[in-house]
Amino acid sequence: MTPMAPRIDRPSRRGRVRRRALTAGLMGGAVAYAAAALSQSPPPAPGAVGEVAGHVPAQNAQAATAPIRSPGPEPDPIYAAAGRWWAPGQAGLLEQESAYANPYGKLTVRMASGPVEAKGHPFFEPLGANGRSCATCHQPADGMSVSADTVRQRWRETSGRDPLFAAVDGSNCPSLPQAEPASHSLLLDRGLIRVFLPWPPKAKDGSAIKPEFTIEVVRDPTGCNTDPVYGLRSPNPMVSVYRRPRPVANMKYVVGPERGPGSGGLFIAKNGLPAAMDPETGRPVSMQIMSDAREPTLKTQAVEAAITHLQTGGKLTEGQLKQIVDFEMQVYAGQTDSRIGGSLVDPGGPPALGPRNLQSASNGVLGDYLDNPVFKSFEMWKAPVPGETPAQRSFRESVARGADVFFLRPFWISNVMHLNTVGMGNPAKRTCATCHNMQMTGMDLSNGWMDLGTTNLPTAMDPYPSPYSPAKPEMPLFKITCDKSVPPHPFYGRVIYTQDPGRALISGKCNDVGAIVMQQFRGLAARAPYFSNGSAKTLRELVDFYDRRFDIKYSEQEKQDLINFLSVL
Amino acid sequence: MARLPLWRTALVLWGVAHSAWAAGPPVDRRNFVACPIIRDTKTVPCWLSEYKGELYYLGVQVDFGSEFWPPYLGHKVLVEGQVSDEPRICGGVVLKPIKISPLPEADENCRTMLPAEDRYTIPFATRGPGPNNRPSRNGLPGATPAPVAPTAPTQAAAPSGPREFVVLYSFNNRIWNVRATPPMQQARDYALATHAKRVEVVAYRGASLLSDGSVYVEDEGVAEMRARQVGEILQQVGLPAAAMSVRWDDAPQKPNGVDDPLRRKTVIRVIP
Repeated sequence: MTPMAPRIDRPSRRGRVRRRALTAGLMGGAVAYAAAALSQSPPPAPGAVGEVAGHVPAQNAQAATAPIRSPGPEPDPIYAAAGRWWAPGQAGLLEQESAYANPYGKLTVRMASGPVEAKGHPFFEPLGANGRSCATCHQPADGMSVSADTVRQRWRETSGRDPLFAAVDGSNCPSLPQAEPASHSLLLDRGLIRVFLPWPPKAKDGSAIKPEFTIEVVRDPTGCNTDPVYGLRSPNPMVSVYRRPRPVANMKYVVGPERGPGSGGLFIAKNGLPAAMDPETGRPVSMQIMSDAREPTLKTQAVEAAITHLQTGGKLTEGQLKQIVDFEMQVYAGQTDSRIGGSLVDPGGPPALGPRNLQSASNGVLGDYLDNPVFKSFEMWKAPVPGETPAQRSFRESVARGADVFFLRPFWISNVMHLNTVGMGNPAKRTCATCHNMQMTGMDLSNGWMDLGTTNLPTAMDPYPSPYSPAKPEMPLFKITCDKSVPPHPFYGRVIYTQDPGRALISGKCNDVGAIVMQQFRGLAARAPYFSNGSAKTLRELVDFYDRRFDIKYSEQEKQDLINFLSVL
Repeated sequence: MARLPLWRTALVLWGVAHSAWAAGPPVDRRNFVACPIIRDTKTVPCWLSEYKGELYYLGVQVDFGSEFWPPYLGHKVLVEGQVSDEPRICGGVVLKPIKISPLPEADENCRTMLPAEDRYTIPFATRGPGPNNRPSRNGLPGATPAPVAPTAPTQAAAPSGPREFVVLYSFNNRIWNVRATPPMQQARDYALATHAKRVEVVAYRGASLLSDGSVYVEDEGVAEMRARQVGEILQQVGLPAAAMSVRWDDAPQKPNGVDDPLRRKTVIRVIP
């Protein structure tokens, strides 16, 4: 019996309970504050300060293997002059508010704590071997994410030499010829970054988690999952999935307060399991930062991101991490001008729009109430305002209708793991705001993840094989087979085909396959494409996905109203 | 460590083979396994199921915080309820109290959706199909959810005697939703507040006496799965492994057709 193993008593064959000590324990470790209250102290909390999460060492090993192609970055005079692209190491002041054009109008990025000098700031400096900075994939002009349009422009302007296209994860696989655009097709076409995660999953203390399923590579168009160095059968077994960079803005809504039930949010609302803890404070966290919730805090996320995306080879300093987190917590981004509708932030206008309103509003507010909607009120745009052009009037009316479609229009929500299984029944008759219920961002105030079907077949967008079509699959496809020792997935059974197993790559749980943490709605106009796998290239494709997925039967008017509504957020 | 037994389809042990259970439940009980049926209404849908030619009303869609969690189309449901004398709802005989368990295995025969008809209304629905129509929480626009103060071990609860906390399950299931968290939270808080010397976890495998006299037994191994999961969770929320014992009883609990849902359980006994 190991020192911290609980006593496990198994029944006799007749079912009579008898006691017997076993040599192996259940999960080890406990949070420090809890241990202090009991007479027997647990071992130090895994993932505590000075350590990294369990999956990171394997990632670090792969990152160290990937070739470094780009030379040290040079500020790009073209982009610097335009004030649009923040190259690593570039000097310049981020003004307190900067507006950037996008296809729908303008987005404004606000530094709540005042102007920020980029030179010397760890968010903007190249800190690792490949010359990237955090800002490489979190550009102010793109709502603190990076759009596929910007990626393509960057490729054209630099002939693919920008650190953005680093072999480690800015290409489909580090083993591919890096000068070829085809080797970066997922980044160029969909704005996707390769995320490589060890298999089997690692617990936070680095031990292997026994997954509830097996994973097979069915299709590998990037070659990375079958690669002898980087793949699933390599000496450092790794699953490669491809995901969009999430926006680093409006983070007060993303990181807290604790979301889950129980005092202090001790549990995850969607599945009843314990929430992850902040390794420094021992407090439960929102688990809403990353698409698979694998890092608990902005700080630990920065540690992992530096190692995997910047190839730093180790942890940033405490000072650098503090500067990065402080910066991220004070950035607000929201659309402020519509190409057709004009200013979105005039006095008397919708109270949720623009970064100033994002800064001043409360976080953690449930907006699924008729008297307190998710994106507050658009009623003032239902009536004419003196001085409006006919086009403005028409657009604003459309946005107001779109807000109502989003908030009030019911449809049958079905087969969504961790939604239909959590008290709603399957199907449930509800609206967009049922899930997208957090005021100001449209995230889910109940923490956890759900499977909308964006990555799992048959609902994921995946080309139909046909001898008459040139379309070829771009994404990998995995076959997941759930073990007979656990209940089958309620909506897929025991075999699931998926482009990205999502949270299941972290939890190892069958019912997490394809489940992804919802992200915020703000700044959508600046950061296409959408969904974690970039499968919706436009807002229209996003709306169409939902229309197909839930057989909503939106009218053309409803679709356009929704698009206009989403474009002003 | 023992390997988990294979997950198997639920076993039906016929009453004739188990004379002690053969009497069947009381006549006003309706315990059966059947497909759920969803009927739309102008407001929220109601859930029904048919047994021996009669339609039974199970409940309506509400939300997360409701006592009734509706079943799933595509899965049969175990219904354990008592016939009430309330007027029919959505055309179905009202069962109250009721416990339903969506069964894990899929059944594509269970796909019946009935359209709304004017004669079926749900006047008592606490919310419609859209946003909540009650004032926002705390009665104030912009009110925040329930307080989220960090949980620290409190000194408020004076150490006292052993206490038990019970986690209940739907048939053949383990924890995968938030309903199980209150007893675990309470057990954890009590153990920390009382500096508990021991925390004993014991899980059980249930059985349900159906109205036709047969017995529906949970899968072999379900008790072990429950025990291990609760043990893991309690450690993850702060209880040290050394203070815990984890046991399970894989013998099916004897059903009586009345309170069988209460025997699909894990008991957490905290001993200060």
